[in-house]
Amino acid sequence: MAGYYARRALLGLSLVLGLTVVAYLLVYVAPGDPAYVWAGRPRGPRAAEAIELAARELGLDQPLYVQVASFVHRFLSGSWGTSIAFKRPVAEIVLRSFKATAELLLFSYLVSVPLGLSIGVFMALRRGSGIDLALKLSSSLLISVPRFWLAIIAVLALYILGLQPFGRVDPRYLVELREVTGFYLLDSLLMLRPDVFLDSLARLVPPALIVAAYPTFYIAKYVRFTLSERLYEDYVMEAVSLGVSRGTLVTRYALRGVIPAVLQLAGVNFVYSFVDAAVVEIVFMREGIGRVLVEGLLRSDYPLIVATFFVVSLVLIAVNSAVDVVQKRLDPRVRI
Amino acid sequence: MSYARAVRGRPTLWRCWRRRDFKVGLMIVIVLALIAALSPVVAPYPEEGEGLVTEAAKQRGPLPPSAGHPFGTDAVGRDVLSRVLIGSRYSLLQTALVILGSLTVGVLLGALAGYLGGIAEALINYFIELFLPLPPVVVAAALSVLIGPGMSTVVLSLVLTWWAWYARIAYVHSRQLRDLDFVKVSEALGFRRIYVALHHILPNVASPVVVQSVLDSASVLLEVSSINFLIGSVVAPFDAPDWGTMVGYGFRYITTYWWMSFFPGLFLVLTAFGFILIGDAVSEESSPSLRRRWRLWF
Repeated sequence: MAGYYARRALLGLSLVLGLTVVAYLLVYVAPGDPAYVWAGRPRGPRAAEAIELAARELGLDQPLYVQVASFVHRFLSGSWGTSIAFKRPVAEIVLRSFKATAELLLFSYLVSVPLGLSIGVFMALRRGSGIDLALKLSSSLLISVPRFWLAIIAVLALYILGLQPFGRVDPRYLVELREVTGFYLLDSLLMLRPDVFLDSLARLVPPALIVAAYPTFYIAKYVRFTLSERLYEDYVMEAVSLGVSRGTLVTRYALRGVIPAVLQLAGVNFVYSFVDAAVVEIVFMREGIGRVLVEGLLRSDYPLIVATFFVVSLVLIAVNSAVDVVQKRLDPRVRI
Repeated sequence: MSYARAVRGRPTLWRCWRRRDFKVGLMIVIVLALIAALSPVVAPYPEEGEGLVTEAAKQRGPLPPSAGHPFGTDAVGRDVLSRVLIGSRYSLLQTALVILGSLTVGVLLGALAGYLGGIAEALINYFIELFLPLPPVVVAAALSVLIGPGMSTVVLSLVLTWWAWYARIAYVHSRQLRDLDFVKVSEALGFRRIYVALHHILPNVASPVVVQSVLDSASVLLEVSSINFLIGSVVAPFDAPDWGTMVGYGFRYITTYWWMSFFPGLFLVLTAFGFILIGDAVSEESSPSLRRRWRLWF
């Protein structure tokens, strides 16, 4: 057991190193001139100056090993340069936006995992009935709706109703809000301001539910599928003949093998929900990774995009590792 | 009747064919494939569909849906129906390319890792672990700045992240095959390892991964469209008729010309739904215990 955790931790560390190498390749092995890309593809009279500055920042005039060493040092210590689009340190912007996206994603997953699990169990127990068929079809349909489009339709519907739940919080609260954690829900609670809390919650729920649509119904369908499979195994027949009730059988025995798999599924889907969160944020005009990418693309802000890539991948690697560890605890048969 | 047939019953595809959901899904996909193939002929204004702002379009301006333009016209007057029909080619092509690319890379690397073992196994598994959690949309953004935005960038960035999925499945299967008798025998007979890998491991590994890719096609389509929505709506030329890009372009005018992003999105939903219906049928029919259609017996 301890050996497993040690190996997993080692793998995690080596992945971080590998990620740094990928980031290095993205910056230094750019087609054409790396300094030109790093400076944001400048044009105009002062372009040459900007490119030279970027070249010095990247250490392109230094020998290769100095370049690599300084890059690794800079990247792992979080000094990622200045954003061209926002004119502020990249680290500050990326972390701030990342927290906004994380708030949205965490909220979505807190809703979707339990909800998906319950819907799935419900469908598995009523397999073949009308309600199962209806739920299955609507899950399939809800999975097929692109989240950005759903968000646009929702915004349009809310707009017609006269509601505009845009942004993360009402602008007039923004000056008062002290950012302790960066999660507005927590910050407003820490400030003991229920009105701010409710306002940010009301703005969080519509986009979060749209992001949650995919994991919820994906998990529901998965649980329906695996649980129905398990309910035909021999041990179920034996348990029923021994008089075990249906509820006990499902929750105590059959679900036990399903839950670790559901957690792993949630971990894998997290990567894809991340894309959903980015696009839904753009539609709801929330700050977050989506807006960072849009601004970065508009200004060719390469330092910002590479830093975003690094931070987001790092967190997703961490999520994957955490899921592996939790799964190992729940199901000791898992091997690395 | 062969032994396998007697044990497993009729082949999966034959059983799928008897299901209504499979037929509906297949119908949707076939119709869309036909639309994609015939769109230059079927579309009322094919050159507007490809992105050209014609003289007629300029005079027309943005129009709501009507008999002449069932899906309306966009902000510069191009017929949205034509653009959606032509757009099917771009969306389906990108999806197919992503799946084919990831399948090729994933199956090859996964099969080799499982069969060869040793350093190759460790190395390939490391790369799988490294590439699996990379966020496709951020990779796409980085590559757009590096090599410029476009269809090939989107396809490349998705292949870069998606192959690891298939490699993992292929790896698990080929690892099991490594110890089976027919593989051992052909090794003992003196066949080269590369020959065994290509003739015995690869064909057996490919089929579960191909099935998985059928189940994935809806996710790939939506992922392609999300990236195109984000990147296309910012930097790509507004004349690219891909469905995701069209929704992104129309999103700017959503409160005035809602039809610009509504209809391409509707086609995305329909296509993904068709793919998912097929995938559901295949996965249920290939599981022996789910094939039984009766209800829970206790």
